[in-house]
Amino acid sequence: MVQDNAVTSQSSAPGGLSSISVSERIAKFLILLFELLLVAAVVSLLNIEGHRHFFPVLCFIIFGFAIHAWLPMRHRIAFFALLSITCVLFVLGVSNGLWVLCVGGALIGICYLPIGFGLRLGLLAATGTALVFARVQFPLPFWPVLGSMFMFRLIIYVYDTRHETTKPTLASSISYFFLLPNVCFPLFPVVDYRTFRDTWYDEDEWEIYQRGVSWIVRGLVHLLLYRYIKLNLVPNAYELVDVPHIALFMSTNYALYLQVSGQFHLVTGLLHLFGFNLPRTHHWFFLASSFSDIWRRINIYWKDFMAKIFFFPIFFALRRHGSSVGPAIVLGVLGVFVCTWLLHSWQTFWLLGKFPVTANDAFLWLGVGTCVAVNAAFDSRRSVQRRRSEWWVALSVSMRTVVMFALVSLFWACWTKPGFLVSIWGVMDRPGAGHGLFVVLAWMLAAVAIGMILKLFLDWQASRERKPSDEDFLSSAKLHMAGLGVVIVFMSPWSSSLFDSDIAQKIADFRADPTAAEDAEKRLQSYYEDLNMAAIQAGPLLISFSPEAETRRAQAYGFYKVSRTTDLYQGVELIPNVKTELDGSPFSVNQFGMRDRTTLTLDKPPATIRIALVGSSIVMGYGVSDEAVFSRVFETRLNSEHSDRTHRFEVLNFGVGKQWAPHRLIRIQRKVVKFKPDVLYYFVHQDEFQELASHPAQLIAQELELPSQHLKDIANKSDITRGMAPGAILSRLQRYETELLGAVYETIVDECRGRKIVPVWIYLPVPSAELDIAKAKLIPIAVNAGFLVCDLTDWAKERQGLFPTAEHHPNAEGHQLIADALMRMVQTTPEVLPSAKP
Amino acid sequence: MAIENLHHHHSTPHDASAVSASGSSHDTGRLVAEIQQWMISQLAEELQINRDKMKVDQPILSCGIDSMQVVIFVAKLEDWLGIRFSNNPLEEHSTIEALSHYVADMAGKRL
Repeated sequence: MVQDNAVTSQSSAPGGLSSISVSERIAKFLILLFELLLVAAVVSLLNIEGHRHFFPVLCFIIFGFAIHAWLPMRHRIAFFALLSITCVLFVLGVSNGLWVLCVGGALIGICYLPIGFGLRLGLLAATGTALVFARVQFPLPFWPVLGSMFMFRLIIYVYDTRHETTKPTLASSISYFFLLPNVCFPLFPVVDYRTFRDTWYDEDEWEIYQRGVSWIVRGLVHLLLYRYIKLNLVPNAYELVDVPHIALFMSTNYALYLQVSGQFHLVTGLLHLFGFNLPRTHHWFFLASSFSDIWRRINIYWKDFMAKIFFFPIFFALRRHGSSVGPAIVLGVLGVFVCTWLLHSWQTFWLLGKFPVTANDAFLWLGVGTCVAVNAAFDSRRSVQRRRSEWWVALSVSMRTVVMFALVSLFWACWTKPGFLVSIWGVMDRPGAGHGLFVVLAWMLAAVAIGMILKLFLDWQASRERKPSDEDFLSSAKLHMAGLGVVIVFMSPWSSSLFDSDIAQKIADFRADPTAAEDAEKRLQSYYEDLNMAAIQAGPLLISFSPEAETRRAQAYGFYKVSRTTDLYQGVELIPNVKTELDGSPFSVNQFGMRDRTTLTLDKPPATIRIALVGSSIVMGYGVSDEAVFSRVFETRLNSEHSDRTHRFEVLNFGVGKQWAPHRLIRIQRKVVKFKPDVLYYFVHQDEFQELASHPAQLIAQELELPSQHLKDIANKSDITRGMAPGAILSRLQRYETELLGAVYETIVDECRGRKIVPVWIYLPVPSAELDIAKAKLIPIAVNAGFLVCDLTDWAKERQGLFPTAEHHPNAEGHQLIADALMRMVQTTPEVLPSAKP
Repeated sequence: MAIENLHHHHSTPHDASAVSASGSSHDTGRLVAEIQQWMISQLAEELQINRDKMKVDQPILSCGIDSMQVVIFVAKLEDWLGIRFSNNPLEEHSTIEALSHYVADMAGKRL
């Protein structure tokens, strides 16, 4: 009986203890430790889940495992509870960690109150409601972690313990809620309480540990596959102009779910190291052959949670009221999907602080629910199938699998990209769509053939029964060590000399995990990737291990909070009226989507000289408070030192991060000119050549009009033809990057001169130890375009004291220095400051 | 697990009414055995596995049965015995052995 092995603090040893000799125990322990150290090396080398601080947490877990494995069984669960609590403090720091432990402790405490079940439930509901209000009112960094620990597990815990006369031990409850790896994985599998309790050391402990390592390795494979697909295979939105690219987008976008399955494998694998012999969370979900089958294979813990809390109660309630099996199943399944839809919003609320309820989500969840319900009703009626030949079965399964993969991919694409179906119809109208469709169908047929062969092979292999033996521990360990060793050898920086420079560069890029980099959110986010954005704000101890990783994470997450994607022309924009805190500094966006005052008006006040600042996140003032941004400082100083009291200056900040020259041109055309500035200050850094070709290439691929005749002229001389593949358009435009930048500048100057705005080009480099080769290329282009050119290279002699570690955003002192440099500029170059117009 | 709203939707197994009326432990044992045999055949058929591989003390959920198959199995059991469960009986009685005793006991009380 599994209950015999339940998590207790009793002194009796559960069945998990093996009867092997001490020397054998030591040997197995050392093998496991070596495997785990190889895992840690791979995690560190490939920066796996680096933005979640996984490497230090993994080291902490391995250290915990090394002690836990040698403790007497009666102390192990208490030690695990202690380790989980310490890990919360280690990752989040004392302040945020204590919030999680205290609020969580209070919720657990309510479950132990010696009052009736109804009262306890009422008290939990009241506390939960208060916490919801607190989450809305006080957006503090600990909420995603606290939410992920309690938002579902509390429901299961209360449900599973409702009839139990004796309370679970405190150690098991603490272990269950503060589960060790949860603190760095807010998107966490919904672990069932009974399963958690009943599977603890329910087998030989060394088999459980080894299975844990297998799952960790499998998780790493999933995460690396996810990284490869995200970096190399998912087409950009502008490339979705033919059927093969649409098909590639659908399948690779679905494949991005590997991130979730990888994390869940890691999490459950790590829990195995402490004796929790949890079942699998995913089971070959890409090979599902029906709607019911995908529901069974993907996120199995979620399916079990929904079945336990919603499906069974609905089904049996309907049966008690006289319903037959079919309708009870259909209504039960539909109920489950309505709840799944709402609970995803509940999960989003705790992880990201918003409660999205969209018609698109509702339509899709209910659509999937209907398909699963119909499928389940059909399955419930089927009689036992007559035996068919192996070949027929293999063909049937393979065909259903391929069709199912295509259908799930379609659903997934509609989740990721609302309006996806409409874009498909648009593509089908384009010339060559029939040929593209034929190519995709040919690929599907090939997949069916391969699947059929694979199925026959697997059936043949399954018919050769092989009993698990003690050798499995060793053979599994050898396999892991060999695989991990190969990855370490080929991916390490020392082996770059083995490859030619292109491959070495690709390996280096892959190692750095660009999917988690600062600009990752510019790529299309799949449904669960959005949920996975929940950030962990590390405590001081953890930050001291990897300050650069923390800076990148904070910036990526920070910009995500204040910006949103817009159309292909503009890329991103600031969300109007956002007020938040970034890196501890207040960050406000006004009603016009500018980092500026809310008192600003579209119409220029009389006797006012307006100066429009256009540029990057430095101009936007990332990392400093609203009042410390150099635009404000500069305005104050202009009005106090340069105003003759007949007029005043207004400095308007149009800076936006994650935008480049072509986007800034659009911002000038769409927004800046409406404010009728007298002068435009266009700020440039060393990265000015970025996205010069890809922006117009995307517009041309989508058959959108380029924003100026200058750009159209370059497109015309690039021999780009209608219907050309997006990759070909890009490669042709890349030959003309210098001309493209010139065209962007000429367009800006034209826009300014047509409105009597003085165009000023200001070079403001970020101090760096590297030689600045950009300036010499950029200045002639700006001069030729007709800008008034100002060089502020000397605004800062060095980074020291002006930039936080590994940052390219200056601090408040740096912004003061930029304002000083601008004041010197207006004194030495008076034409950049026009006089007031009547 | 409480059984609520006991109904006679379908004919109960012949032995169930007979043994329950007599109430002897020997007959209850026969009923339990009959229910166990019925469960084993149903599960073996549903899961398409050899009935010899089914063990009465093994948790039913560990045989690879999914939630749809659970409700179909339990619904068949309900219809066979003419009873209705208030919730999934496998939550509290996870093995064939435990479930058959529980169901036989409840069927006995009903009759």
